[in-house]
Amino acid sequence: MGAVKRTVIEMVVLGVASIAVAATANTVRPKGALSWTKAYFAPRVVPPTGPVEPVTGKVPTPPENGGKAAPSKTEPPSGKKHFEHPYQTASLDLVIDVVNSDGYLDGQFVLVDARAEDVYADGHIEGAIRCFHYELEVCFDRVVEAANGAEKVIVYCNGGNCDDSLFMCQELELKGVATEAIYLFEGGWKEWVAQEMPFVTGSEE
Amino acid sequence: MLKATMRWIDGLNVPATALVRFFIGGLFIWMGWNKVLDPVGFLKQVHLYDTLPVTPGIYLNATAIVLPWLEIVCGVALILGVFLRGSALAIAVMLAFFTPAIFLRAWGIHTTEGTPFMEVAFDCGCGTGEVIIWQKLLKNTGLLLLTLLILFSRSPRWCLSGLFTGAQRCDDAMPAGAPTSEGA
Repeated sequence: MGAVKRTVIEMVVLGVASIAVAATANTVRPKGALSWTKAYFAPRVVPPTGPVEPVTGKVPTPPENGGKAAPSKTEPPSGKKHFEHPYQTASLDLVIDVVNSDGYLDGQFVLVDARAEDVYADGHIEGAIRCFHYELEVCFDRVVEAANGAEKVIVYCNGGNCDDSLFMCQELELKGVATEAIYLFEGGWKEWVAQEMPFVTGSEE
Repeated sequence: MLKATMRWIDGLNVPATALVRFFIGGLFIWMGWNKVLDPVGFLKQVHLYDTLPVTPGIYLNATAIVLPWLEIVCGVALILGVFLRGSALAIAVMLAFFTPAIFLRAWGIHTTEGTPFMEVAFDCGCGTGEVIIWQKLLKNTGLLLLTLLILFSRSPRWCLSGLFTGAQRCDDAMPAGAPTSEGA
């Protein structure tokens, strides 16, 4: 057998062995297993031409439980650009406004935390529904149910160049939630804690 | 030229290629394991390269599931000296694919965001966190050259097969027709 042929065969054997090991490991791993076939990412949505309509939030009010007054709209703390997207952007002011409104409890406004379970448990905005983009099967129905008919659905993740919130927005849009109702809180969790806003800990019940 | 290079490599009486094997093998095991520990993070990194279709999901998901283990398996094979040239070829192919992909993504950031190319830094999904890209490209090129050295060396030493056969060289344990200048 020629050396070239033997080398290629060796490489193929290693490839097959890797697939077998990977499949086994992915099946038996207790956490973080990926589906082989599920499309985790929605197709990239082409941003609309022209300016996005400004968000018309109410005048922000500081939280009652000792948090600092809300600052004006800020760039994501990381300084990195978020992906281009067709959704309206929620400023920190708007999120504060929503969280403090009566409509938040009544389902008029919905906040979605698109981060993983462990970081959600470490701290999240009170009342936010947790749904990690990679575990849609366990939480997405609840999010869609809450989002349908809501006036504003604000989605956040870690902030900066975190894209889990964007993927969640795309999934919501694909499920029929009106694009105009979907807001992306780009500053996300980083901005929320950077401004020393109040949060709660623990998993969802 | 190729023959002369191979003769030179072969003439290295010190187990230079073996040390290179251990270094590259260990590096790939480490980088692969870091990816195995965070499959979602690696999947997102693969997606950011925008080279594979998002639907159907099999392309991205299979890459994120298999690639880390391919790196580990090849790293182990390289260290043990089992399927030595096959693992070296696989690693060379991976490096030859990853390096231009990293360059293209960095160049995209350079042109769209105006960041000077030498200052472009991001997590390339290599299992090492955020890196300065020109340095990463340089390192990858060096790794590729070292991997080619293993691939083209004619008489590598210190292989697992030698433990059982008593062979001094990896290829001695193989059937007739050991790699020659036409090889690999």
